[in-house]
Amino acid sequence: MKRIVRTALAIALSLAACGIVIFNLPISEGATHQNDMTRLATETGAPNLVSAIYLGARLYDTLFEVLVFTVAVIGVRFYLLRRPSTARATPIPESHVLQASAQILYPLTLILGLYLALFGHLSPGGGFSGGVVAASGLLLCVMSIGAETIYRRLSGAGIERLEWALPMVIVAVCVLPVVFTRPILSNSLPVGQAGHVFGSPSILLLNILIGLKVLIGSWMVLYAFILYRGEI
Amino acid sequence: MGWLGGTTVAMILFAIGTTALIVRRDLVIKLLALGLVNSSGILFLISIRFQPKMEAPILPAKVGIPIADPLPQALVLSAIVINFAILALSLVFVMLLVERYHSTDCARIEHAVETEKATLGSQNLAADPSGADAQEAIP
Amino acid sequence: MILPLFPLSHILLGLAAIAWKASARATLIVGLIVDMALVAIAFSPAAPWLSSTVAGGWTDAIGIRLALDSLALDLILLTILLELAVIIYLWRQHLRPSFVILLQFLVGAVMALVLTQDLFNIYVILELLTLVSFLLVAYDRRTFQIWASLKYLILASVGMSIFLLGVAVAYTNVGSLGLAALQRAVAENPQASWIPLAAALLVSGVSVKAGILTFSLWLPDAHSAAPAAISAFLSGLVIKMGVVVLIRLAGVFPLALVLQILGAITGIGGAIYAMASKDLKRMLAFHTLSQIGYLLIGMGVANEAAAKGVLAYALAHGSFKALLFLAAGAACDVIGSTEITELARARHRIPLRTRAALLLGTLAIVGLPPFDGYIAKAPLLNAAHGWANQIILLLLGIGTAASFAKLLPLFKGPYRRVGNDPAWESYIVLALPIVLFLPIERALFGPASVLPAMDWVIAAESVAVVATGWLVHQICRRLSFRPSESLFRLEPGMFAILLGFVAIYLLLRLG
Repeated sequence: MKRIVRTALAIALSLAACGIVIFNLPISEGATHQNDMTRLATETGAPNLVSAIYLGARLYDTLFEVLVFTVAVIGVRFYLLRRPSTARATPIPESHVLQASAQILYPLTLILGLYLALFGHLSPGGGFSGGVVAASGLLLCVMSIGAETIYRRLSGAGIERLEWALPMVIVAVCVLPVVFTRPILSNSLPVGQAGHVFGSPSILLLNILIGLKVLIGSWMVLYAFILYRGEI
Repeated sequence: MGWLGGTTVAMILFAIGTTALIVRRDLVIKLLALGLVNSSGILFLISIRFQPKMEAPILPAKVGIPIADPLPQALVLSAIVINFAILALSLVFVMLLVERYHSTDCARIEHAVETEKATLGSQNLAADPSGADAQEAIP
Repeated sequence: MILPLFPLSHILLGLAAIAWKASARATLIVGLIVDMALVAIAFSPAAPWLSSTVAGGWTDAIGIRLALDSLALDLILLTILLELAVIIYLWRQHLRPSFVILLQFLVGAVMALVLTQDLFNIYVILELLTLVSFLLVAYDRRTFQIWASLKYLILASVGMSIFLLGVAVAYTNVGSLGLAALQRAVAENPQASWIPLAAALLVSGVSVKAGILTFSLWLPDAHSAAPAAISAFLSGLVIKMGVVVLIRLAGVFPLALVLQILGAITGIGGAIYAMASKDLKRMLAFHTLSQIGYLLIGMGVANEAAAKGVLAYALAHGSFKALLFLAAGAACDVIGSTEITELARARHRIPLRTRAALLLGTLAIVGLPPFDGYIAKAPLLNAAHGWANQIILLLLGIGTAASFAKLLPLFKGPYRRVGNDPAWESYIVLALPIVLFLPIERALFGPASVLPAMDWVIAAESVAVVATGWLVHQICRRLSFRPSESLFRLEPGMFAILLGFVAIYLLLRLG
């Protein structure tokens, strides 16, 4: 009986809250600030206005984004990797279909991730989505080759160091405009011709850095989850 | 069907998410509901200032067709990363608790935590009983 | 130009702590020095004291504005004080680099939040604060800490989702995310239909983090479960961040009545639970709730003197709450239990300076005259007009005194010198503002001082409140009154957030 009352109250409250918002729904105006947007594109050199905003005008926000991601990676590794080694779970046996198709798909996915990150300022994409797609590619790679092999190869290449080095480089790029006597957190490197790959070098650089950061962070989180899957 | 825009759907999903967060007892389903609540916020954010005939905000714009507002889309990128971080970390904690208490039931875990704290005192409980500082694997 | 440096320096230092593991402690000290240098630059006659820039030099419409106003300066000073105290407290312990980076990010995020004037930036930094404090609360990985943290994360995340909905509604109708633009839009058309909705969403969202009783039901568990230094930071500083956002929102929307009602509920509810609590750290956490009630009522009164009182009280509360948490942590570590009766029974084993620190903190928090609790409460008591406000503030004072009277048995009896008090210098750092609040504040702010001269009427009132509180405690000890602690679980927490949102919306719509 108490459970039914609780459920009914929960449904009623949630519907009330959502009803309040629906009842007052704002009408969305059509016209945006077209002039502002053209100026934004010419100042940063990026035709993709979303990139121009989150890596140009609101770079301060994106910096804290990257920090949120860093903190998540630190947290996952701190809480999972401290277990004694006997907690290491045995890998799940995979089907041959999965393994074969993963072998074909992972190079394509990795290249797609690279494209998204590199051309994020020209077409929809950007560092975050490129990094996530590349991390999915890495996961497909794990399914075809095996987690331990990839872990050994990547750790041998010093991926652990990149985890803290990349945010430092990103903060340095944010502070870099001081050298060019422009305010911090603006785009510093000279803007080239719009529509060209190297047309906005700051945004390109930031996209690459963020893409790498997301890739490496996601890999570390995924590897920690692969190792310590836990059981009930 | 003008009223069934993205904003309305987002709020319905929000209501479903919050109901499930209160009513369902399984911790993993609570986390799924939390993800649904967060995603509904994102859907709301990209549906404002958008009407079906608009184009993507990439210049050069086609003549005569308005482009969608890029600012909410930039905000959504940040919101997605935050949701990812929250889900990953809460999954880790749920995993630690489930391993300790061998059940995913929220009420049972809550009750067990409270009784343990009352009886054993707060100094003696470790999350995983096999030893806290086994490896200095990471800083 | 220098405003973004406040958080950026801490971020870089945190990353450096993880990069060069041996330098972890050095980065803490460097961070403190950099902060003090930046504040000195802000105070110097060359740079204007109140400066405001848009990050990156963009326009206000799409950029993020940062501003150093008196609220921001007040909280940055509090941050520096708590940083110094916590660094001294933790100095002799083994500090892992991951702990140091989380601490540095916490301080950096706090500084960024007080400086920002942009709605979405507030959202991102609040989320960063949630994640970092969630990780720090559970740092010792004990089960009750992990459960308290998880509850905190889930409730805070739902709250922030609601805040994001509020940002979306506000943006649709204003066209920009800055607080100044929002204020202009609300002033132009105060009866618009979107205003109660946006205000209700934003206020409910941030109240989950601000320590308001009906929304923040995670607070007693999380703040009492955390390690001592982290509790000091959380209660002293991070909770104020939610209050800062509420202050900014109160400058935009007409929130006076809502804030007063929320403040009354939080203050009285916190005081009742504190009176009934038998665990020292939990009682301190309940007190945080009730002191936030003071701040909210002060904000709700909405005149000049009350606003200054809120600033002063935020600073004072940070100092004595941190002192109490640090001393309580040290005492509980020595005795091995957090129950007040246990601590009282074994009080001869608590180091002398820790007991003195607890005594000083208690005197400050109940508002006895020469200490900073009284000095900071006086402007609020002065400025709060209307008999309802006065009665509620009196009740809060009595409740505080009544619950701290429980600690009196700790201070009687043998005062032998027990060795091994590791962190007493941090008590001195925090005791200085408690004892010398008035002179320090006059020296720092000079003509812009926020505190009035000593007022004997209010001093007598405070002493009377403390005495009444002691009497109330003696009476309540005979009755056995235990309010239900099952309110602080996960599902009631969710219920309360939704209910609170609906209530605030109705209040704003019909009020």
